[in-house]
Amino acid sequence: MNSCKAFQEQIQNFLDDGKSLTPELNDHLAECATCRNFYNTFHGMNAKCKNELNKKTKNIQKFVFENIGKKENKVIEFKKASVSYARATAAAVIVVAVMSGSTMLLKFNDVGDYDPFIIAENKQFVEEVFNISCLIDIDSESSVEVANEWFQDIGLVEEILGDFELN
Amino acid sequence: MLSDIKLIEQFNNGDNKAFEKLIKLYDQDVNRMLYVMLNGNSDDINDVKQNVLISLFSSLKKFRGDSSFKTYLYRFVKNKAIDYIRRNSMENSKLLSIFYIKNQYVESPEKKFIEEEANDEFYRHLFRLKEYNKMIIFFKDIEGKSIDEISSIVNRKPGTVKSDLHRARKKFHKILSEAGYEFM
Repeated sequence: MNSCKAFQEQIQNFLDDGKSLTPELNDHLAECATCRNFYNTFHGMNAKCKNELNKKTKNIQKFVFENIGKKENKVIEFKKASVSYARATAAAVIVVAVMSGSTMLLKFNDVGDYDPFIIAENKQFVEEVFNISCLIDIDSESSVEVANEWFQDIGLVEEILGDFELN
Repeated sequence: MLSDIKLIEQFNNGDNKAFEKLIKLYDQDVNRMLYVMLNGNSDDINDVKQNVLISLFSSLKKFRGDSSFKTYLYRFVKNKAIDYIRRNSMENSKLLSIFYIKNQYVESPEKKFIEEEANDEFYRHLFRLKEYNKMIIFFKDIEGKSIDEISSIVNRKPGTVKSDLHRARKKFHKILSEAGYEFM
């Protein structure tokens, strides 16, 4: 004779696959309150619960497309801000470069015992810094582009500029 | 009515309205699922729903049509909900959920109160199950999905889903029985 455990497995198979209840299971359900309760719990659940859930979630109809719009705008604003930061970084680098270049130039003038190769290299760097500083207008996109090209040419601050893109 | 695939095509061609139409088709399905997975907490539901929509908006291009869009959407919502639950340690949410249930009927008429209290009691018991168990009971016994469909959503073999489901039902029935709850 089957135990309640076995009958409940049969009930589950019925619920899963829609197989018909066997006469033996029907007889058992008539006698056993626990198995009947098990059967009733899951058998009626679909229609009743779905209906109840629809009622419960009716107020969650407020859709959030407008929020998607807002978030998309935020992303765009962030991207714009990133470009501004990149420009500011470029400007800052130029300022630092100009200042350090000036310092180096003064040093070259004052001190004569540097390695000639290093001096030559640094002189070129300093000259470039001064050249580029004359071209820079921080608010102008073309100047940023010039600065960007220059930074790439001399292999400087690539890491800082990263994937800096011009609009 | 346009098919899901057609709407996805239109969206991928730049028609954002098609996305709205597509999502609205499954709005209630998503709501029901999130209600069960997030223990009926409306703040959590709205948070996850927003995450789902925003992520889906940018990743729908990746949909290859290997399954139906509805299955894809369920899988997407499931992943977002589970991420959210993990991130936010649902203990707080469970407390909020009980608070929410206890407070939302303060002004309801007595009859409605009793009726809804009983339904809420049922869901409160359902919420006591672990996320996975809750989810498979939701899909099979509330949504009426087939074992194969659930298997595709939860990414487990049908045989495994079936035995998981049997165990989950027994656990749920035990919880209900201990609480003296009878499903009429």
